[in-house]
Amino acid sequence: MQTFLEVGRTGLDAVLLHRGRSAATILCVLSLLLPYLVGLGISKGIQDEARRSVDFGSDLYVTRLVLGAKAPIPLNIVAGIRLIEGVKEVVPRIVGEITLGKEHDSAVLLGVPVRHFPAEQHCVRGRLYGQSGRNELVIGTELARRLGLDVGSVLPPFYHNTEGDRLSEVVGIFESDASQWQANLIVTSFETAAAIFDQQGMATDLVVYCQPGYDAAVRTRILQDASHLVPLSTEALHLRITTRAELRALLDEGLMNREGIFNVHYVMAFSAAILVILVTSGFGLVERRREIGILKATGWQTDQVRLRWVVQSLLLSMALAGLAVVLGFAWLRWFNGFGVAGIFIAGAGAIPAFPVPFRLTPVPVMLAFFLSSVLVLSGSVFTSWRIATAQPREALR
Amino acid sequence: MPTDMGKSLLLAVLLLTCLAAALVARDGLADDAGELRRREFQALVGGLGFGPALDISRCPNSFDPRLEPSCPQDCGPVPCGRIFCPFHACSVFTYPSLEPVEAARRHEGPHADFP
Repeated sequence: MQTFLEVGRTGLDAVLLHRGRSAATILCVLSLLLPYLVGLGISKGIQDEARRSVDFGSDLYVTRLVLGAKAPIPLNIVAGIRLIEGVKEVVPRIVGEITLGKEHDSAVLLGVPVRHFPAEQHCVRGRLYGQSGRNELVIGTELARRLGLDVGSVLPPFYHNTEGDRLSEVVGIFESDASQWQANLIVTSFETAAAIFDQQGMATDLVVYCQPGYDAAVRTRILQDASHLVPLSTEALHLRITTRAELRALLDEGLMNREGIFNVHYVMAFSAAILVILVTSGFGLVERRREIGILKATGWQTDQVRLRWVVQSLLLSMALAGLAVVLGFAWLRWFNGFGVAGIFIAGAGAIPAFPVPFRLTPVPVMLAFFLSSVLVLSGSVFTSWRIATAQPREALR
Repeated sequence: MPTDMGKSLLLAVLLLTCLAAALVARDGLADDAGELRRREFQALVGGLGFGPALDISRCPNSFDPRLEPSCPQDCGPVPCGRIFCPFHACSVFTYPSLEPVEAARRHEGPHADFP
């Protein structure tokens, strides 16, 4: 056992003996592991945010279909849905795209009434809308930065309404860590959104809150009585209802369905692996052959030589995995995903105006260690084994 | 016996591993203030946002499948037709369309929802 440990310890010196090769191996594998960990970390972060969006959202989302396509839903259906047993509240929403500024920056406009919201809120710097008769907007951080807006800024009319255009005032800006989806969001009252789109009496969707355990029954009743829920209506109303359970199922399936990121990273993995194998087994072959030859000539057994190489490779793998985690964390937390966030979250830009969502979990970290071990070991152990099984005279030649 | 440099290297690698483990453990701890803001935001908007997109100009489905159940640029029958959309080509977080769920429900029959 003592001999075993002593031989293993010489693997430590072997890392330092060939510093250039060790550094090249670390750089090559790190170029693969770092984006892999960063990508998985951001993916997990978005997934957590999505889960919050489902958990703290509503039970049912009702939209209307006309000729198979999504269409605005008439507001006069709201009263009918409110009467269904088990319905706690029905909130109409308007969600649409608008463009702002000289560069025609795209923004998501959301019109929704402020619902049971505490007077002291934390997600908005400034205040919420709806406390005066004017168009009051709460805007996202990315939009505020691009358009140079702050709390109190007044926007000239950016829309056309048949009843007249009005100035709009920015009364609040979302806190940057409220959500990534606030970045290009404008939230305002339902009436203001209807005026901006110049379409009264319509909503994009209805957000339905149900009493616990009633969501399936309410969903069935809405679909069953759709046409009767609109007073004096003679036309058939086709509705689509998305439930919280369906959204949760999407999240779970998303875990199994990351084709894009995995394809890209597998391509990178193979490219980097080829480089690593070349560096560790090709360029350093002569050097390694000589070293193993000397070891065998001085009495080392084949197993001892192999053990030395395994220890060396595992040490490099541990250093690689640890370094990748520390650098990945620093890149995402302290540099806020500078440069890489725009690749994984389209529209975030090189310097995102919101904290990039990420979470490093033990599983990707273990995967990183496993991947680095496989790459480093495959690049060195096989060639070392072949040299080690040869006669010292052959190895030294 | 390993040299002093070898021992230092081993110590450095162990420290690096411990630091990495500590960072992963720290990342798992909840940030209460941030969590409150995130919950408030979702309560205000009624649940909005789901995917990697930050606006709805190109792919509303990648912003939120509640707004658009499937990708508008999905050319499914064409080989690799799904990856015409930039959000689905190299997305860090993808999820299937909501429509198969609805199609399956329709397939069950017109009265599948109504007992």
